[in-house]
Amino acid sequence: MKFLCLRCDEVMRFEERQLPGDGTMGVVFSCPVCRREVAMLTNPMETQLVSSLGVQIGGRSVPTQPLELTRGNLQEGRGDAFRDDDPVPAGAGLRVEWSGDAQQRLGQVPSFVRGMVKRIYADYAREHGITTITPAVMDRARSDLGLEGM
Amino acid sequence: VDGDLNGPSLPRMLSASAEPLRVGERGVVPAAAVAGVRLISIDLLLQAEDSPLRWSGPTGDASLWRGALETGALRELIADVDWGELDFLLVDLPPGTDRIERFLELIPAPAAIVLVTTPSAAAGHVVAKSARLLAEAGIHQVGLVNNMSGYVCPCCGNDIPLFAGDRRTSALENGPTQVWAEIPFDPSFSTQTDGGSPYVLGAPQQPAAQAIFRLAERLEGGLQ
Repeated sequence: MKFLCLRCDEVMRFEERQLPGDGTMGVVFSCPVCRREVAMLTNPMETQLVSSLGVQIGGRSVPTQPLELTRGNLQEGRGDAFRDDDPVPAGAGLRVEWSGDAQQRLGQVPSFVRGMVKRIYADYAREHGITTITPAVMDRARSDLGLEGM
Repeated sequence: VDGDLNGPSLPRMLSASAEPLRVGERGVVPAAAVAGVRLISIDLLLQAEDSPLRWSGPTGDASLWRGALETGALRELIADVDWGELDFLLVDLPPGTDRIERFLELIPAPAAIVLVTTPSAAAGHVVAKSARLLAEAGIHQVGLVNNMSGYVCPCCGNDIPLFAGDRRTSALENGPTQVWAEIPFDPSFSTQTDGGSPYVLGAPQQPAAQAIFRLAERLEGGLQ
């Protein structure tokens, strides 16, 4: 799906995505020529439908994690279903540290998906040259990657 | 692949390891099960034995997004697993044409499909719909397994019908789908599988096990 600026006959560009945490989503697109902006708002059902299709609005910069859709949406997931001590892949590059606040926040993520979420944030940090993950970095990654509920 | 997301049973039937799954660089490493079988199942991810499959999301409109999510979950169970080198990849699906359509969206040209039925008119009526759907989708390697085709008497060894009338399912006998196996009922089947051991390993000489071996040989021969 694309948005078209009728005046300029140009495909609008993804600018920003906001996930307030209540299931709704706001996405801003702009025309690369006249800079006119439009916003798309989705209710929780629409957000879930898009997510269920595996669509990442605006794309993402870190690789998808194995079973991400399943793990990210499953209720009553087994806490120890996955090993949480997977090593950083070879060639991953930059070593990433976690601040105390970020670790505390990560601890609040259900154990079923914690390993996957940790890896996504770490990949995001490496991608952006960030050496320490803080709650602010987590917020930014969550918004940039469209990680509703993570 | 235990493709029955809402009624997964293969981890129990195949004594799959309860160890946490490892996520490697090429995907999730499947659970080790009996006889060298590698297995993935949604049941390995669920908290308790009686945990139903439920998804996060707005509950009021779940019917609108649940199908899409479950198709995505099945895709992940097949594609996000590091299977390594396999002889065969078997995907066990629940009954219903909708499941077959979803599966064909993911794997449009499976090497073969086995439809399991029982020799009753009602079961044949339902399976005939799947057979037609597969024929129209251009899937030609489709075989029918007639489960509980009879009962082998443990005393005299006679094969006694379990159902009245012709054992063949009438809705299918005139169609293109061939019967690949007739498997007689054996009460010890459930005892073995409930205990996590494949019946064919525990009772390989029994008529039902022999029928399953012949089915496996036929399937393997057809694929080669």
